[in-house]
Amino acid sequence: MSRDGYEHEFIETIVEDVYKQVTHVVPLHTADHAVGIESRVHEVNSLLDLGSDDVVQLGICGMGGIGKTTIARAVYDSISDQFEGLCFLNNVRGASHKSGPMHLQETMLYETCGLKIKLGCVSQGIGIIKQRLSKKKVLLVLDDVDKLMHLQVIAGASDWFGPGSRIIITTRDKHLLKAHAVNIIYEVHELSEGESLDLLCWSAFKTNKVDPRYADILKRELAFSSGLPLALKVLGCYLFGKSINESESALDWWYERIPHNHILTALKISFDSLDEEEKDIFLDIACFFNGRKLEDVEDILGAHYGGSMKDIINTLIEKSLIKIDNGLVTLHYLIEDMGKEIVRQESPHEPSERSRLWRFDDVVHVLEENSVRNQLIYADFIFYLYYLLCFLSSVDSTNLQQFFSLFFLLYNILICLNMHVEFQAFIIVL
Amino acid sequence: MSSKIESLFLDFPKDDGKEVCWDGNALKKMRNLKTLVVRNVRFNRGPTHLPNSLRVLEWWGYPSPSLPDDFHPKKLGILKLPENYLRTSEPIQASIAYMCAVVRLLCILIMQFKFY
Repeated sequence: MSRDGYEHEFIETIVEDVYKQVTHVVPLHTADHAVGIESRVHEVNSLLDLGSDDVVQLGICGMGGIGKTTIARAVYDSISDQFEGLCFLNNVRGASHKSGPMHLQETMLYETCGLKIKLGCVSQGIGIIKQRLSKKKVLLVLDDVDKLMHLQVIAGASDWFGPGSRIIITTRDKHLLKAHAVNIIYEVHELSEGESLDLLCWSAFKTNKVDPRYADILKRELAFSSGLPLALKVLGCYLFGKSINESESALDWWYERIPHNHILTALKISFDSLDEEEKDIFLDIACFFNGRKLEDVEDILGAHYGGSMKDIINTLIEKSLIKIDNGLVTLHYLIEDMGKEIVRQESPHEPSERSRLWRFDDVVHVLEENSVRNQLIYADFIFYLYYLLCFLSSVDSTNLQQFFSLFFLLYNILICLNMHVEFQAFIIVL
Repeated sequence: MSSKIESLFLDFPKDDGKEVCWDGNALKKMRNLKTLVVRNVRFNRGPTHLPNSLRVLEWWGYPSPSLPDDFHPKKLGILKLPENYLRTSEPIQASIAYMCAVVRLLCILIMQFKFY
């Protein structure tokens, strides 16, 4: 700060600094009604061994929808005040797919030490991370990692971070943790029956008390969801505002179709309760818009269907199918997969028969189908080449006419090679 | 037969180098296409035809100098063509195309002259 600067500027910098310190402590938004979270957070915290000065890497693993991220967030909130640098990298898998590993490093450097930087390559990022963080006590959470490479570029080794640092990695893949030499692993187990019932009731009736008339249905839903919080929540929301008979018959129908418990079943029940328009919009969001800005999504869908999407999006949020997180539309990957699978099933083998296309291979298949361009161009090309050869074998350099013919032939070959129009004009000028 | 397709959404990471080599005709068949979004995909050429059912058209780097002549969408709500190759100087464009045609014709004439 220069001595002769304005006072108000100086005050602004102080406020900004303080604000940054303060916002560090603001807890992340955990689930609305987290059941059984306290005991789990307690277990994780004891594994983290917060007193010691070593760098501890801890893996949280379990199947999708079991609540890994929720636990990681709760742990992060409960201990974040003990660290100098904090970073919660949300959805590493999705983020790196969209913008690459360097972006992850940039985000992490910004969150932990406020460093705004544009990295040229991954190894440069590693260098800066080592340099900046090796003296700092940081808490780093990497949420939903699926590639070893991401761990290697963000948290390659324990000596990258200052003493007392803690790195928490959530993943579905236990082998990944082993490959990265993470020895402390917390495996998340399904909710117990009591906890499941509690969560289900809360999602369905927004209270802890079980309406005895619903007891039977709840029991069956419990069996469907097999203790997965995600499934419980979706099923609970499905029950919300439904009469007993309605839900009973829907469950019956499903139970006949798919006798074994499966999470997709639970999600599909909820999907089937939507009306046609809601289904369409849900499928659009699942196929195209996971992780996009809410405004953009509303714009595009509004133009597509002609009307306001607010109500329908709110319905989907109420049913726990989608979430709005920081202005971004997000879906749990299991729900996204279900949506994509429904569209794929419209025509499993022929993508041009489906209503929505988003995979590159499918689009190429549809767009390049019957594309005759390539063969045509080559036939043309060979034809001209043949003429050129005929010419060259009989060329007489004194003959001006032949010289021009040769030039035009060359020019035509260039056209065949699909040269840009400007370049063609250039040749003409020549 | 591709008339079932309602939405085409091509959105990939920036430096993926995805490329489509097509003849530009495929969109003609998609009579119900309402949303077409293209981001970070290179096309070797522009479409010869765009369905008039389109309501959302967003195409980053639209590859040809003009939209197809028969494209008259009645319900288009969003039109975004950023980083495109559209030309504002239509007359010059036309004259270049004209010259190309003349030159080609000349070339063929000369070749006829030589061989027969």
